[in-house]
Amino acid sequence: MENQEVHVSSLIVHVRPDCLETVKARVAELDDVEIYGDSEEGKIVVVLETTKQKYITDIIDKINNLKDVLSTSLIFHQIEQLDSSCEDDL
Amino acid sequence: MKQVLIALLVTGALYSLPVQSTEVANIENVNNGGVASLRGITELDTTRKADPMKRVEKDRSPIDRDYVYQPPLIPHQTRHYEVSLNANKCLSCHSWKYAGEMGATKISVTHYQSREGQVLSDVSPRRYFCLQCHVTQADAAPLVENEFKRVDSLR
Amino acid sequence: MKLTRRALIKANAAASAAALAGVNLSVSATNLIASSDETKIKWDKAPCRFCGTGCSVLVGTQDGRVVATQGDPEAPVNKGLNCVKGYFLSKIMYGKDRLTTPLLRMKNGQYDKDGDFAPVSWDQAFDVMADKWKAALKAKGATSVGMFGSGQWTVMEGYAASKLMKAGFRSNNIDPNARHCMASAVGGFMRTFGIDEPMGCYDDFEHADAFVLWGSNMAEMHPILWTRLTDRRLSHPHVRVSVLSTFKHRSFELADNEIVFTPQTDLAIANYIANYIIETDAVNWEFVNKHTHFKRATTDIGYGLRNEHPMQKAAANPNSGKMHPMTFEEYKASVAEYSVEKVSQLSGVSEEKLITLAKLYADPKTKVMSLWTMGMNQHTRGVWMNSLVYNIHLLVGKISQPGNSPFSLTGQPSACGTAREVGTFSHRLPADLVVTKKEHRDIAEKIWKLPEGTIPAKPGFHAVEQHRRLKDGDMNAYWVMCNNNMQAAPNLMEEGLPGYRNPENFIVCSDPYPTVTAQAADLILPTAMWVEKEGAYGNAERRTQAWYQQVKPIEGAKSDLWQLLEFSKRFNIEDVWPEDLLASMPEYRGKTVYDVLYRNQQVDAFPLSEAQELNDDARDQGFYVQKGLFEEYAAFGRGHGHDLAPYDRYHQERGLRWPVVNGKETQWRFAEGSDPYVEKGTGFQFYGKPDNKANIIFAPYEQPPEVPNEEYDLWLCTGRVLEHWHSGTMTRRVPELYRAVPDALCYIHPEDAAKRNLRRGDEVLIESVRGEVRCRVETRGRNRPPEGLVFVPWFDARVLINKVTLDATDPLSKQTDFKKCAVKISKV
Repeated sequence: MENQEVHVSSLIVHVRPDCLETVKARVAELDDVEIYGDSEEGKIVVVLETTKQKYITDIIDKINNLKDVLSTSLIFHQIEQLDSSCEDDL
Repeated sequence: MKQVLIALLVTGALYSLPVQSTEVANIENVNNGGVASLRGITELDTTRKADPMKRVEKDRSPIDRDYVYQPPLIPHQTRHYEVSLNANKCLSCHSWKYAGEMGATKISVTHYQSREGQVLSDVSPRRYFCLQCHVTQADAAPLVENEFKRVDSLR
Repeated sequence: MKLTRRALIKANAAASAAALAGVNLSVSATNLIASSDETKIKWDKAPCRFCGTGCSVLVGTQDGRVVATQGDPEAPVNKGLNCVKGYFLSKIMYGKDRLTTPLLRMKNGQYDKDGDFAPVSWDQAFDVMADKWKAALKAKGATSVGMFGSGQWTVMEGYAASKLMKAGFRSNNIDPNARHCMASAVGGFMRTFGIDEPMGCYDDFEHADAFVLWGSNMAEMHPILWTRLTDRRLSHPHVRVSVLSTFKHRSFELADNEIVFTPQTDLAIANYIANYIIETDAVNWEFVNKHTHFKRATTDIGYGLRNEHPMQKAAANPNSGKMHPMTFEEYKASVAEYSVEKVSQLSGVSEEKLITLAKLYADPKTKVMSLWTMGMNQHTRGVWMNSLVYNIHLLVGKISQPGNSPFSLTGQPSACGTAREVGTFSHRLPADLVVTKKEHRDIAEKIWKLPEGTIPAKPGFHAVEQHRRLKDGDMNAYWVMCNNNMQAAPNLMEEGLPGYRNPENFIVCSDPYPTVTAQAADLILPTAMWVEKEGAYGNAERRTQAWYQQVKPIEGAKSDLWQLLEFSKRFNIEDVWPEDLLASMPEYRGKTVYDVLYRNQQVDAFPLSEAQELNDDARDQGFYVQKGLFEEYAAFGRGHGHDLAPYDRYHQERGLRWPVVNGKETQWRFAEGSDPYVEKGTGFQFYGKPDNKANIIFAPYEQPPEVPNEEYDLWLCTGRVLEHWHSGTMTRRVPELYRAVPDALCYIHPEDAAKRNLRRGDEVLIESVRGEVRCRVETRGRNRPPEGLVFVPWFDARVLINKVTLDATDPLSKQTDFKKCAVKISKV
């Protein structure tokens, strides 16, 4: 039985509306990242699941550095102790 | 009628407390009509005996949260902890750098963002005064029960 | 961690971001959420229920209950942060003793002042209440009814209440608890600028080079603004923070210049700074010549005590607010006596600290933000003191520019929006109009479609006066809404309690919970709160914020708005208006007060279909009542410097700062380029005054009314704490907040404790000539009083420190001075 730290966080990535699809594609390529939704105004909802806190800020930096990204804001962050022995399979 | 009212108002904590009172001044008609407030049912013109001084709980395990955005409570005493222009005692255990070796809860990554949303290499100065959001807990039963319900999956 | 929990957390993470961004979640995400019902949390915005900062929160609801709250990352005020109270908002509505039925004192099935409370229906409650109001009106006229409202009322509730009292019952006896809180600030604004509320805004925090706290413990009382100030101080090392207070508190943790002064001597310190500016030739002459006048205040004006009080009789010019013109030379001579030596001696502050403070203002390169709350407002010379700080800023022209900002902070969430802007004071009408001016009453009567002469010209009873008049039996039917004034008002034993319990009086208390005020009342009405209703609040930086109802009220509870409107249906206009008034508008004959005031084709102009599905108040009235009230109210200010946006827009925005002109909010008033009311080429226009000039008003140091003597040898200062809101009705029912600060303690200097043979935790009796309380002493907590002063917070109903306090007020603003009276302390 091993406890492992899991960080769940979500971001709003604000991009130039005309570049929404290209940015989405680039964000989707990053590890530990899931895109949950987006809007025509150029906002993308991204959920991260990482094992270390540091990775979150690294990912935010990576996204911020993508072309046509205007801003990234961290909306949510929670640390959970994941007990891998009692995780259900979906 | 009266019985209905008692059923309505009895909230355990309020009524079970002994009426701790000493001197009574003379103001006409003072009578709480059987309704208890956070004061209990001690009449308003009574000089109420002070409640016992509560002790802050010390060194217990982290306190469970009722919803995901709730700031963690402080499960230990903080007397003499300096948080000022010169020093921040909280960070000496809870910062990322020390949390591991101290066995302390790590500061959430949300604390590493500036007001404008930029990621910082250290805790954001806007989060500097920890006690604005995180508070210690005294060893005391609540005055009134709270019927807030967690979402099912957090129960 | 099970997967359901992990899925929930991820769904929450996504949902909160999506709610903010206005994004519809993708199919896979919604599937995930739909896969387990319990993860369906609906998020919507609302302003925080507590202080005047006006943070926005996101409220999560599920199955008709609030299940979570979080700081709103989109809100410019707080950018995702809350203080500990704000983070626990989700629990404030769920104390087990929520009131669910009206309770009336009865004996043998009848109302009886000495009876015990028994449940009655709303109909019975309003029947008895209307009888009492009608009897009082008939016996003694309109001044015998009164209402005590709140800076925690929504804008619409305050407006409906003010209209009911001033136009319906034709009584100006309506006053808000904001009288205890902001009245001196209003007085200062009106005397100096001729228009209420700060010229600057919170953006000043990110621009200032120096912050001066003049009697404000922001670290506890405005925690989120404190985060902005802290951010600025720690990110920009040149920034300096000065904290002035009569005792050390948490805000001193960030202070570069710690200034603990003898109570009342802030008047002298402010005059010293003006003197320093003149002596060092730091006056901004261009600004002063172009934009200001010099005036002097009438002095020796008493202490707002009862007229027969010896101190009141001894005053040469009791209650006089007259100002007289003076020249700069005369002003210079007046402040010249406030030398650093003299002021240092008087205030107990070292000369060095005073000079350091004065230099911040005098240095033309340092942008200064002055901040204050109750330390300056709850002050028997509060109006003077507000103006003295404006004097300093005006002398150096540091005003209405980013970072240069004298900023009066507000205590309550809508002290500005409801109490001040709507004008729920006994002398005010909306948009800074006053009842004493015929042309102002005319405007109100025209907007309200009422006959000329409806609104009485004489100001009603202010907060402290209301308790005196209840005690004297002059006011007999009285309604307290949305506050806990028996606990909050001064001199409980000599005025408040005898007033409520006077057998001639009938007292109604509307509250979500049984409070101390409810215990002293005769009828208790169970009240819906916060997101159980739709509403709007206005914060300290002129930001108006609206929210939708998000859950049904607790069964049996009704909003203040519903209560006001339903009560108004119990009166025919003939019951409340005299024949001559009726004769001038005969079309109103036979109508109810409700019809005349709220079914006037304005308040009821917007159909139910425009309201949200969940809006009990609108549904009960059959029209979109909140929008109608808001729009009718907004007519007062549009085009007159108080412009509000169309109501619906406030539901789209995280608030807007008035004046909102051409859809655009205003950050810095009176400044060209920022304020649309300022003409081009003028630079600044203080357009609240007819000639666009602000007043620099000299006022001297005068003694406080009660000073410690041989027997009552300590100053008592009262106040609030971070973890509890006001009288604790909401926050002390949240277990985590209760446990954080369970009891009110008496903070005392260790030497003073030792002299009385006291150790930390000992029980003491605190006595003044008016009353006594018992509590425990703290010698090393967050507050560190100097020798000779103790601090006791007033949130604790089990202590009731206001049994001890003095009901002296500022004679101009009528605001109580809760910060200084004389007490003695002994071990129990």
